Amino acid sequence: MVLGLTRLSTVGATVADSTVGSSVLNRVVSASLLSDIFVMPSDSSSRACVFRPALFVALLVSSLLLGGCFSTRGPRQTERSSSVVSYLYPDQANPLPPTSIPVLRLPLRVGIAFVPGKSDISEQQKTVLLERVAAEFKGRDYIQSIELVPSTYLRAGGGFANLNQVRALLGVDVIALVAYDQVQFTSNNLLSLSYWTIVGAYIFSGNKNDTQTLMEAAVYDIPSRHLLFRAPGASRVEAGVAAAYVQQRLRADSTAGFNAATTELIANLKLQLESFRERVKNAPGEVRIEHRPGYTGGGSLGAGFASILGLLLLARAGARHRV
Amino acid sequence: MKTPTAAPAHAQPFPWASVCVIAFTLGVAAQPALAPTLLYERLALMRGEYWRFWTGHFVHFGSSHLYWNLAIFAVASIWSERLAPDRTRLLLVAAPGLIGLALYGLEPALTTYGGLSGVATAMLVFLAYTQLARLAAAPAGTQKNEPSAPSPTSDRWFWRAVLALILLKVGAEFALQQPFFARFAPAGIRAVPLAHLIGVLVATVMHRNLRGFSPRNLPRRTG
Repeated sequence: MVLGLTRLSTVGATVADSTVGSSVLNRVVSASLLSDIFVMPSDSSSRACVFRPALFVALLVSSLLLGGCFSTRGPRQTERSSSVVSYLYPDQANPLPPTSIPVLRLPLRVGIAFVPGKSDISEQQKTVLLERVAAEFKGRDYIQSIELVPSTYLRAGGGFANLNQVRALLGVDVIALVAYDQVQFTSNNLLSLSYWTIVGAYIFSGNKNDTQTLMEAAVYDIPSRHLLFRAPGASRVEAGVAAAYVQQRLRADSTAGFNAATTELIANLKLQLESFRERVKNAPGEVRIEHRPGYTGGGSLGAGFASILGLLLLARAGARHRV
Repeated sequence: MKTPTAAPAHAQPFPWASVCVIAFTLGVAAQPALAPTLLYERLALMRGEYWRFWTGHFVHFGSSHLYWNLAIFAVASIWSERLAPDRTRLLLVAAPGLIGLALYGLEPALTTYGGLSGVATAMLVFLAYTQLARLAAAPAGTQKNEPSAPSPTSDRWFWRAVLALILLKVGAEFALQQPFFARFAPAGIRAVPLAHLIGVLVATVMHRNLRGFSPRNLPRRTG
């Protein structure tokens, strides 16, 4: 009996610690109360103890209430983010603006990387998202190659010194740094009252998850340290979920949020890329364009050649007809 | 009991190799995401991506570039494969790789290349040689009663004119350093007459040295 009650109090304490965090309830289920339930007699030779039912019932009700409201707590928030500014200008309150004009040597060799930050996004998830962004750059005649830069190549607060190392290592001139800020909120609705039944925590969607994601790709010319252009993407994912599946759903919402934000980012990236091309054409002093030695060539026979061949074929058919 | 009917002697084989190449070219055009992986790129070749010697020819820089190259290739290759199937198929395998290798060795400034015209030129030249050889070998008088038979008197001038036209085009491109009879849709792409010249040479070598070529004549392992 004593062992059973001790277990009960341990569970109650664990629930109280892990959920509400209410100091009152914690105090209720404290070790000192156990000694109040079972009042030890003053005679130490006797091993029997006096059971106090009223206090036991109070503790039981408290534990049940705790169990019922283990997820009827207030809103919670999870945040994962990375910042281009923190990465490029660590410990610099007033970074100096770049002075030289960026020189882009076409076709460009582009790197693309996630800015290091406080995150729990897996490397696999990052690679999938980067590949989607990279696909947007591919197939353009002014881009020679695109390298996905692994997270291990970038260190937090590495700045342009780190980017220069990446440039030397991978041979990229321009890098697209992808930063993100994702905040997840979890709150309760009326259905969370059903959690009092324990089973309700598995059935009724008494929790509401709200996932807000902001992504941004900032494209830098590494040698001149110039920001060439940037493109943002945002998303909001809302979902109702039962208490037992909150964490699972939050992870799924996080992935869905990143995917949706990346889709918008890609759409904006297209627009910004075209806008940048126009800007370069209209304001040649802003960015200098040079061409690398070597050229792109194509073999073409063309409409003119095909037409002459067609005429020859017609003449041949006519000659055969006469024969 | 039925006896199998023998195929007529003049039956021409289905040009499956040409059809495969045409389908592949159209497939690459329909999936632009494949282009960066298939294009002839000097740096990528130096990294060991040797398939680009072959596949670069099937990537095009625009719809006009694709359609005219493919139109001439389709006619020349299908016609040629029906006349000389084994040698045409060998040429379809060898020509892209040989042209790619020649560009790599002889044109170091060429960083990126795409287009089927080198292979199409090879097919056209090979077809012209094959037709001229058939005309030279055909006995006089057989052509009048047989529609599929060559007609020496009316056709010889045509195939010679085709060869002359190709040589004129390649010579003019070398002299003018720009595509002759053709324009590229994207700006900044230059003509590569060397690809056409190599195509002519590959077809010539193939025609002169492999007249009796057939996989059936190759020595086989026994035991």
